[in-house]
Amino acid sequence: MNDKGQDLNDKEKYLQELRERIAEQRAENERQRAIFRDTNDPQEMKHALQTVSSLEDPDLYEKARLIALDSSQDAKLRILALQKFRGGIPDHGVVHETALHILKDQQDDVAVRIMALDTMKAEAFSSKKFSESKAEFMSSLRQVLGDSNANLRARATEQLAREKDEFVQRKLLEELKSGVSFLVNRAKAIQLLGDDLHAEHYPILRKILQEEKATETEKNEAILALANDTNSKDLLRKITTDKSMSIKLRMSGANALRTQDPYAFETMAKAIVLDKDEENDLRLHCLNNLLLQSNLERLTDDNEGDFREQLRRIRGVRKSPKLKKLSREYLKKTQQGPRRGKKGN
Amino acid sequence: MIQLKRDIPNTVIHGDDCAVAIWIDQMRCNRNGLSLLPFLRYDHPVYAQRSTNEVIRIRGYLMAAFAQTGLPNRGVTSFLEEFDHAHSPYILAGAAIGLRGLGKPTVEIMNALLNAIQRLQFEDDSVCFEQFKPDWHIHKGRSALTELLLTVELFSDRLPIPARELHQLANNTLMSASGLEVCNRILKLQEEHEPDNKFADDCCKYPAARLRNFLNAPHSFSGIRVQDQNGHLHLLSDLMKDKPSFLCFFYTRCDNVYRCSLTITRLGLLQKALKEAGIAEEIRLLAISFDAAFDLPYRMKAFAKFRGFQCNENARCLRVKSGMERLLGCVRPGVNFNDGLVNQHGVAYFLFDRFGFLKQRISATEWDKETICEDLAKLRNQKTTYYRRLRNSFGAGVSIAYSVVLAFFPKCPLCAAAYLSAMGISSASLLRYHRLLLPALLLLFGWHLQAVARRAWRRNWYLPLAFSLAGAFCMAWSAFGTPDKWWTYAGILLVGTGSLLNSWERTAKKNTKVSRTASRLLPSLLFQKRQI
Repeated sequence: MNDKGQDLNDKEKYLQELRERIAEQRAENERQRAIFRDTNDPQEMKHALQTVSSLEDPDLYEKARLIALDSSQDAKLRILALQKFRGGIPDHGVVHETALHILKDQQDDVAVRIMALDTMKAEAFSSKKFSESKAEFMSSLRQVLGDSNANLRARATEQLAREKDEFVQRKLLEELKSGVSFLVNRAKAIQLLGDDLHAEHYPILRKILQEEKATETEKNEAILALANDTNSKDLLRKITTDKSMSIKLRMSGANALRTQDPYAFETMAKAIVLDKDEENDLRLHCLNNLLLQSNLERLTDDNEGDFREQLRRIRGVRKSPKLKKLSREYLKKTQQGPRRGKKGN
Repeated sequence: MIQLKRDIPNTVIHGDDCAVAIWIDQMRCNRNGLSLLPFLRYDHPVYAQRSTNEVIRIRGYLMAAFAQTGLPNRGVTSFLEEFDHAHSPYILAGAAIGLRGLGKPTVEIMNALLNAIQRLQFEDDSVCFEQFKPDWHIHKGRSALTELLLTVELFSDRLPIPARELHQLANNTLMSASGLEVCNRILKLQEEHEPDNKFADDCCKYPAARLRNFLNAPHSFSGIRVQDQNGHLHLLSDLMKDKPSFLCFFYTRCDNVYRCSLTITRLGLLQKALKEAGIAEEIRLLAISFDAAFDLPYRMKAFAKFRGFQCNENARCLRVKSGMERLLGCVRPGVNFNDGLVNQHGVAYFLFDRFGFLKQRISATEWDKETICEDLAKLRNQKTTYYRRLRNSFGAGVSIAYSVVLAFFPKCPLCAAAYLSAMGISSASLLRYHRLLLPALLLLFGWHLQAVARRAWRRNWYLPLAFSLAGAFCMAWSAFGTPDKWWTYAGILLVGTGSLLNSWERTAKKNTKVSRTASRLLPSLLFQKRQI
């Protein structure tokens, strides 16, 4: 029996019940479409739009479009209308036109404008015809950057940053330099700039890491973004090996260094794993990463033998069974298992 | 360092991007397109140590300025290259606007525009050239695609668009409403006005970038250490000798698929073509990374593998461990950096012969796999000439000569006296007992001739011997015939030349018909008889 009380063992009966439910749903959809067509009551229209799966009638799509554009209508109704309108209409050019019209209207309701923005984002993903409207969309987003609503600004910023837009990168850099957070908060700004390795943000990120007032989240994002900066290799190494820094930042430093240069990471990570005075979490993290990259083609294998030998004799592992287990796994994977008869240290 | 035109101030080149824009605006007002031309080079110092966004802004703005200043023919190649492989809508739109300053468009330009339209339709953006850094709250932009279409419209009354491309443009190109309007006007123009084909001269290709450094001597690459995709270290000069080489540049973090990714893909296709032609083992294919710090061996290997380029002994991906500046200075692929990271670069391919001389520089727009295969096959068959070896030796000899002169230059009065006394040896005949030394001198001379002759067949054949014999004859004539100092000098010069020719790099001689004939003709005293 499923949660609807249907007997799943009887296939034919189940299929019959399924067909009946589909037929009921279809009938209900038709009824709701008829209600939506005939009524002008906002509540009824809202209910109809919530219930119906799709409109399927050009006249109904047009009605939904007009409702979405009508700023005198209820915001929730307009949002529903926009959703249904987008879902089934074959001509996506009309969808783009409608959504962009709403988005550009600074006097319009914020929730509806956010829905319009989300509609365009979905179109960017799914509609081939989006390319026709892309230029106008980008232009609209740049105008939205100056909007009074923070949520809308943040969404527009994210979308532009995803497109590696020069204008938004310039604004984000200016904000990082000045310390003002108008578009997004500093951590988010760093994260968005980090998506584009050509965004010219590395000097500022290095500076942020030196700032005392920078929060841990901001520093964390800066470290992750510096993974693409080959001039920051020593800095990342220093962060990872600095025992005065928080474990989270040190782990991020290790990840960033590993992304940039797995061989440099390996040398550093081996030293950390073997250091019994180190945080167990960090040792575990480094050993796990070494395990993940153990199949990486080696340039030199000078220290691998020594490392395995010392790993077998690793001390302090009693405090961390996970580390002990991972050590065994590493040794096994790199073709030298733990010596028998000796307790792990 | 690129030779700069004197009218470009250093404050512009090294100033912030707004200073560059102001200067561009000044040239725009002065209608001075020639002063803007040097900025079209990818490796111009104005782009050094600037972010990619700054570079794109400067470059696009610069290109658009040619619409007012006029675009000299010399600059068109740069525009064609941008249409071929740029992906920034701003640069493409700027280039399209700049082309409007061209007096005589050709079919090549029209084709480039149409190709760029097909690429740009999926990456369109709103662009604005009213101001260098537009404020989008004030300035209205226009679709980059529409800018390209407007340029096509401008040229449409003078140039025909092939039916296939016209159909593609009208039916299968995604464009905004404004672009559609322009497109309809283009279609109307093509239908109503028959372009007079005055400029439809396909043979009038714009000159590619001139081949520079064609006299690169092999030692220009000496000392450049590289690491290949397997982590092995080499000298670049070792990898480029004895076989013709095809060289290109790339980096794995390039976000423009029409540049580095396409370059390596093309390299893979070229490799296949060479295999089919049966000469893959005799040609070296080398791809060098701009981003040596990040492009570790395993990254280069994966990058090549996924683009169909199979790495082996004759096909390698390399990163430069030392000497990158010298390499870029010799080859000039067109690249600039910001704090070690590439901020822009062009696409170019280089053909070297088996002596390491640069024979050809091919731009992206000139890529033709079959032609390149043929060129590489010709280079493979290239024979050694004495002239070429002389030029090789000359280059090396000059550098050695400088060192020797410097070492032996008299630095004190005693040295000077020693040199003066040596020069007096030419008057050795005035010595009382010089005749007793004559047999010894003759013996030594005979030893020299025999040494040259004995290995002639295996070394550099008989030309050095001929010089030495001629020199011997001259000196003998001077000594035993008509005493004349000019015969002596001539003899010394000829013997010296013979020695120099004999000291060239050995080349293994095969049993050729000429050498067999020669061995029968010349007396056995002067050569070793060999089993042929």
